[in-house]
Order: sequence, then C-alpha cells, then structure tokens
Amino acid sequence: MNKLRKRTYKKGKMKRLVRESLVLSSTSSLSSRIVRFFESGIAEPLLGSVNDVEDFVHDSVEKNITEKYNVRKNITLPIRNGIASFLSRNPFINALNDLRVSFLNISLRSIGVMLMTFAVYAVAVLLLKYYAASVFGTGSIDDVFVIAISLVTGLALTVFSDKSIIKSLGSSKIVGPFLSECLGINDSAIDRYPDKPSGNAVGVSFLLGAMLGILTVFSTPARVLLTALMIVFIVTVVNAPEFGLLCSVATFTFLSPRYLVMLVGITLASYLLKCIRLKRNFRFGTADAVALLTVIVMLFGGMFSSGSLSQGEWYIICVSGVYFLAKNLICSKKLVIQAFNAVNVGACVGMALYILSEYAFMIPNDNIRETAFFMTKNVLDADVLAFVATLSIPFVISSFSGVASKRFSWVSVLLVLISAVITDSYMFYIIACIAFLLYFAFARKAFAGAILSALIVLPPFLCIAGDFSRSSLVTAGMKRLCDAALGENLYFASFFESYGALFGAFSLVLFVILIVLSFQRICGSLILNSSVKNSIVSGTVVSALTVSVINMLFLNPLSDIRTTVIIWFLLGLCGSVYKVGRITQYKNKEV
Amino acid sequence: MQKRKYKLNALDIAIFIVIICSVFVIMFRDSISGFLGTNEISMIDITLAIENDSASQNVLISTGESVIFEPEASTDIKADALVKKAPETNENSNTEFVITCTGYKKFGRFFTENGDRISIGSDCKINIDGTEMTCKVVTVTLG
Repeated sequence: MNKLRKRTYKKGKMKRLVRESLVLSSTSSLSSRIVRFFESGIAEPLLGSVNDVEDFVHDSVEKNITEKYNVRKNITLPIRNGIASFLSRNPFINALNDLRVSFLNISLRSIGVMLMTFAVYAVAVLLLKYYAASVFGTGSIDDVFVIAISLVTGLALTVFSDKSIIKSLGSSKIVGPFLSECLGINDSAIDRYPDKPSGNAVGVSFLLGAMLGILTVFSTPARVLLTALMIVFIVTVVNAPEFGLLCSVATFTFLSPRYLVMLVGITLASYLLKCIRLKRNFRFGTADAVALLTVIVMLFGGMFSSGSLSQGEWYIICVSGVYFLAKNLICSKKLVIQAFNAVNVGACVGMALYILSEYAFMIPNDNIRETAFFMTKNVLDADVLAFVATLSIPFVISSFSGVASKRFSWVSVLLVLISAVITDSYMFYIIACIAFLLYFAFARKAFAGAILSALIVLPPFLCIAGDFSRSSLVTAGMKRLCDAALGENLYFASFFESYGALFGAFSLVLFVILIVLSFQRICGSLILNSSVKNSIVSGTVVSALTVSVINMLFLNPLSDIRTTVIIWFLLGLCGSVYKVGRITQYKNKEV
Repeated sequence: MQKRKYKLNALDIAIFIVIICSVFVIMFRDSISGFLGTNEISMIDITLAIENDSASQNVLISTGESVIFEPEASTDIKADALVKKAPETNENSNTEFVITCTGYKKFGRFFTENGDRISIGSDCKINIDGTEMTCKVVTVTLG
C-alpha cells in the first residue's frame, strides 16, 4: 500500500471514529456551531470587527488629515523614487552589487584556497612570534589548533568542492534547511544562479587569505577568522533584512542582550535603507500607530520615572523595532512559515542550552565541561524558559499539520517535555496543556473538544499545583492569585506590573491596547479566511498570542529583556499574517 | 510548493571536519598542549645524576641551596636554580638530585629561561659555592 493510500485510509478511519462516537460527534457538531456563531452568527462583530475599525480610522483620521492639509497619501514616494533612481545609476553601488553577485557565484574551492593561504601565513606569523623578539605577543597553543583546523577544512573544501558558494549553501544538508526554511532566504535568490560556478578566483582568494594571515600579527587567528565571518554576516543582513530579523528570533535565547540589540539595530538600518531604495514596503496601519506611540511613551515614561533610562530600558526600546520589521518584512506565506520555524528554532536552542546548563557539571572532561559552561553563559532561567517553551508549543504542533517544517518538530516536542520535567514546575505543565488545547481550539476550530479536554485534564493539575512549595517556577503572581481566591489582596507581580513600573501606566495602557488590536487583527484573519491552511496559520498565531498573554499574567518575562524580542515579534506577526491572509483572500476571489 | 532537495556536499564535509576537530581539540587540549608545550615561562624540575667518576661527589648539596645551572649548549648567561631534593642513591647506585629553575616547554622540548635547550641524557655543569661539578640530565618535567 503506498503512502498516499495509507494516509487516506487513516483519515477515513478517523472520520468514521468521530462520526460513530457519541461524545466525539457531539463535540464536533458543537464546535461547528460555535465556529458558525463567531464566523457568521451574532458574535461575528466581536471577532470580525477589524475591517470596521480600519474603515473607521481611514474615514475619520486618515482622510481628514490628507484632505485638510492637502497631502498625498504616500508623501515620501517622490523623494524615495529620486534616491532609488540615483543609487541605481551610481557606479559605486553597481560595483558593490556586482561584487556580491560574483562572490556568491565563485566556487567554494576559492574559500578552501583562502583558508589554506590564511593557515600558511598564520603559521609563519606564529613562528615569528615564537622565535623572533616578539613585539606583538607570543601566541598560544590555541592558535596552533585554530590554524590546523582551518588548514584541514581548507584542504577538504579545495579537494571536494565543485559548486558555487550560493549553490553549496542552498543545497547543504546542514546549512540549507536553516537558510531556506527558517532564516528568510528566498529560494529564487538561490535558484537564479547557474549550477556551475563562474570561476575559481584563486588569485583573489590567495590575496585575501594572505591578508588575513598577516593580520594575525596584531591578533589571534581565531579572532581574525571570527571578525571575517562577522563581516560576511553583517553584509548578508544588510542585503537581506528578513535574514537579520529571523536570525534575531532564532538566536535570541543564545545571544547576549548586547549582541541581540546590535543585530536588531543592523536589521532595522538595513530595512530603512531598503525602504529608501524602494526595495521594501512600509505600511503604517492603526496598530502601528499605537505601537509607535507606545514606544515614544516608553521612552518618555522611562525618563520621567527615573530621570534617565538604564541600559536595560534602552535595550527594550531598541528591540521594539522588531515589531515594525515583522509587520512589514513578513509579507508572504513562505516568510510566515519561515517565521514559525524561526520561533521553533529559537525555543529549541533555549531549551537545549537550559538542559545543557543543568547537567554540564556531570561532563567528565574538564575542557568540554568548561566549554559547556561558556556556551550556556546566556542561558534563560526557568521562569523565562517556561514563557518561551510554552509560547512555541502552538508553532511546534502546527508543524505536524504540514504548515511549518517537520524537520524541527520532533526535536521541539522532546525538548519541551524534557525541559518541563527538569524544571519540575506545575505552572509549566499547566501552561503547556493550555497552549496545546488553545491550538486545537483556534487552529483546528475544535472549541468544544478543547473545552471538554480542559475540563478533564486541568483539574487534576490544579489540584496537585496546590503544593506550590515544590515548584520553583510559580511566580508571586500565581501565589497571590490563589491568596486572592482565599480572600487575600489580589495583586499581580507579573510582566504587566514590571512594565508599568519601568515605563509608566500610560505606556502600559497603550501596550494593552496594542495587544487588543493585534488580537483583533489575527482573529479577523482567522474568521475571514475560509482556507484550511490559512486558518491553521492564523489559529496558531492566535493561540501563541493567548499563551503569551497568560504567561505575562503569571510569569515575568521582563526579568530577561531578551524575551521582549519574541513579544514584539509575535505582535508584529499578527499584523503580517492578517495582511498575508487578506492578499490570499483577494487572490482567491479573483480566481 | 516544490520542496528544496538537500544533499551532502563539500560544505557539510567542512562543517563536520570543523566540529569533529574542535571537539577532539577541546577534549585533548591539555594532553596536546602538554606534549607541545608553550613558551610561557614556568618552573621546571630537572633530575640530575652525579657522574660516578666526578671528583666533586663529596660536595655537600642540601635542599633549598641555590646553585648555578649550565646546560651542555649554554650561552654565557647561566641559569639560577634551587636544589629541590637533596642527593639520594637509587637502586642502580646512581646518586640523583633535583633542581628547579625557571624555563619553558616548547613543542615537547625544554629550555631554560635564557633559551638553552635541556636535553635528557646530556651533560651539564652545576656550580655550588664556586665548586663546579658535572652531572647528567635524567628527567625534565614542568614544576
């Protein structure tokens, strides 16, 4: 029996089971009724009010301003057009573009030659440092290792490679899936290059390798190579801001706040440059106005509350750029899926590092143990890990339905389970269960089934969760909520409280309005789209946003400012999914 | 949507090589650097055997005494050393003692601070209070 028949048979069996089971059939029909109630029933204005709000803002605000001041809707377009046409004729910009194209199109063998040349020159410098009167330091044994590794790698690339750099990156079993399915690289950008490289560029590689090798006089070989890699990375981000955005989402659990802010800053600069050159769009909607106002109020609120902004507050304000990047850069189905995968990868990295940090002390080899400690330097604490891991659950489950890549799905499931067990937190289990059920409620539109499952699954958890002393994760917020249930003062020590304390009450109110508007958009996308795939995508984002709001109530992700990246990203993703859904709907109607 | 096909290529091989080599280097870093050594100055212990026919066998050498150490191929600058272990006669009837001085290990070979090679089995000279005696280097270790 072939795969397709097997799958069809399984689906048929499942449908028959649902039809014949009394409980399942009744929940299924109840779910359909609930969906109809929200999609076309009395409750339709509740979730489908997004178009009305957009029209209202357009008619009452946007139209008034444009008519009153007699300005064009897109006032910057002529200026940007002028800059774009000037830059497209500029020989320097054209030369840079040609350089980029020819660099990507040369053989990977050239990189091998460069690495080998680098190794040879670095060895010469190292020997000079050892034997001659050394002005530039003496070098260390680690330099020998780095040189040896670059020599062997260069040799392997020189011997085995016959493809161009871009083709090798695109078809690589290790790097390819990340670039093409997660980090925002467009397939057409890879496919437009020919299979055969344009040349070997041995002379340039030799010169570059020699130059880098000589630079080891002033620094170590590892630093020189890392700097070269970082330059290549920055150039890539400048050329493809989507890459920078999704990189920051995929690595926010690994990078230190400083590097993360730098990455977001470079991506933002790259995006603005692309906007000026008319290569990317910038749309400013209702929610964006609220987001911008929130950021401005954050800036002034933080200044008024404490006189000046601390480094952490600056970081939080800087990463708010992720909202605008996500909203404007994720503009196709492919990019939405890549964003899902990036969130999965980011959560996976965070969870893997957490597990490693918990058990690194058991590694018998001293050096590997030290390396593990070094790698887990920026690890998330249990509280923040619960936030990130549970937020990623809807994205992980959606990958099983064929929306996102299955490549990361089983690994994510395994890591979520292990992390939950290691943290030994009932709060983690409860929110993970809620995330799971929310996914089925929104993405699969099985509201009745999800509520029924919640009624069966959650009470035992909540009963056991009474023993809070066993949990290291339950925050003061949850404890105080329980105290409130027993008649004590209700008081949340949550994300919202910390946010309000940092940036003021008005900023908090604006942030809550932004969350409500984001909900409105994504719920609108959920009920206005008839396509199954679109409703899975929208439902996944709705459930992730709901989980993050629940998390924000009971946990305090602001204790690690890196989590603000994922919060802003999620809010931006709501707008972009709504936008992408609308485009698809329009196209479907046209067809 | 057509799915992109991935194949094992030279880049993957290079990444595997980097990962495997890095893990190997991290695991055996101490052993490799212990074998290769560095040119970082540290204390080195030299076990010396007093030549049986040496007339200076009767010179009294006690622990903590300062001596001047001169390897076989030394420069004019001699190394200052301290006696770490007083002479003892082992089962082969060889009288051995240990001195310690500053030096370094580089690519498996030992050098004094002045850059003189200390080879195992080579002759050297020890000067104690103006009395010079000839010894043979038995072992050299990092202190």
